[in-house]
Amino acid sequence: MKLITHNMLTSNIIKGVKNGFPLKINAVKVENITVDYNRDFITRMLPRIEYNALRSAVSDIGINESLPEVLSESLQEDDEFLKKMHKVLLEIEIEEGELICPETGRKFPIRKGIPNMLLSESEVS
Amino acid sequence: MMSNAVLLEKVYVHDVYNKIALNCHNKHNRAWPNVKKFLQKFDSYSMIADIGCGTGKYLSISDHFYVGCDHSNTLCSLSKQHQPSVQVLTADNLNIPLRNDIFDAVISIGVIHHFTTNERRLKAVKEMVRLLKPNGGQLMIYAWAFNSQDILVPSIDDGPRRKGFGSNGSSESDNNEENDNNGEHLSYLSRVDELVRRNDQDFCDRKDVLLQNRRKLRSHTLNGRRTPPDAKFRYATSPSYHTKRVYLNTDENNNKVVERNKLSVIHVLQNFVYKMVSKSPVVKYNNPIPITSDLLIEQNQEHPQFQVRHFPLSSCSNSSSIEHPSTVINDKNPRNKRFYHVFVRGELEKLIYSVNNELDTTTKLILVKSFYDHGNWCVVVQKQQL
Repeated sequence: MKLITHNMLTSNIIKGVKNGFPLKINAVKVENITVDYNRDFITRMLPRIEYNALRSAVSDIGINESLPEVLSESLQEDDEFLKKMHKVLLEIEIEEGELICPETGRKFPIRKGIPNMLLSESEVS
Repeated sequence: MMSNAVLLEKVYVHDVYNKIALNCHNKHNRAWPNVKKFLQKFDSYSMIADIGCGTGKYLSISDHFYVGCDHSNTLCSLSKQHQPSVQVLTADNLNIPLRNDIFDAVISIGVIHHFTTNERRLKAVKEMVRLLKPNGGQLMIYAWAFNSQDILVPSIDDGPRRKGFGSNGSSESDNNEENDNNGEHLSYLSRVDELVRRNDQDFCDRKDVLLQNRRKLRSHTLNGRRTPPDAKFRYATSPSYHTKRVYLNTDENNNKVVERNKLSVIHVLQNFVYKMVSKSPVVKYNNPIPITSDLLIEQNQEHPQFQVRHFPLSSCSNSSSIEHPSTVINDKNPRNKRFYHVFVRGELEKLIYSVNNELDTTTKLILVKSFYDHGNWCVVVQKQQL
């Protein structure tokens, strides 16, 4: 699972959970892969990225990538920043680990890069 | 305890897909042209969710960013094996773990017909609408079309499926190689048998002519023996079916061939009558869709009703997917089937209309397109913010 995907995920499908976002990451196995840089792709994705959630995901995994605290207008044109975003969003793959609901602590396992987000009937509203 | 709807979906949808996953990649891996076209019309680098992505055949069309969801973990793994970079989640269409309002498009190809009640199909669509971008986000839905009742289709695998098969401990259960024998599983399987049996009883109790004929025929041909659910087939008049029937009969014993041929003649007539009496209204796009209530099959949560239909009566399979007799399945195991709710004309639009009514007042759905494609009713709807 890439961090761009993590950025789309929420656990608010659990009964009683309001936001369920962002899910905490407990990464056991992380892989770095190479993806061709595509500036247009990143610029088009940026407006949909919850930037703070991405930053906390980066810190959860503990990778050495410092993202600026605030996503300013000018940054969104900055090639160096966009390349950093490319790397963070697309080149990190969480292979094994778990996602944790920030409100209930419910854990969702990640196996072979696939998060299992299924809930039991009693957990959903 | 699981509700009956959940139970039926577990046994006749989820378990089956997990089991057939291993051999279904090559048989169904062609992207449908109209779905492909739909995806291609979006600007480059759109964000798209494929809910019920199966083996992920749509996850690499154009240069979009896709998130695929499937309830079957086995199918998700298969997508990933074939295309390591795809982003897939094991998730439930009724509770999609994705944020609101961010997707340019959502596709649901051959998925919502697996839900056993109208209420659940409604919720499934509502969940997908939730994901769409408020202005211009589009949802495409494909669901099996038929002019009959919900069906169970024997799945694409030739092994017996579960221990405990055979309600009176028949010898066939000895052939099972599966070692899934936990008690809970067995108990819900016996509930499934009960549901199927009761469902069948309900058919017999019906007063309408078509089904009376069917019953007469059945008791005549089967001499009143208690029969397994498998023996109670009803045939459709789909043209694609007739081209495949020969295959179906190749590995049957003679008696059964005769019995089924008789059945099919009767059912050709039944379906003809059915078509005559169930003329559907024309769907108009700009108004609330005029659909009469009798058009819709009554759904009852506690007594889901369906029929057992032979594979491959798959309206989505083209002739080339039935290449070997080996794909024509052993359907001796009554549980080795998939559940389908088949949509009548206008029903999908009506479902969209109901979803629209349940949205908050600032959001509405526009029916962009509604059409028939390869045995499916299909719609494209757009989410608008007022």
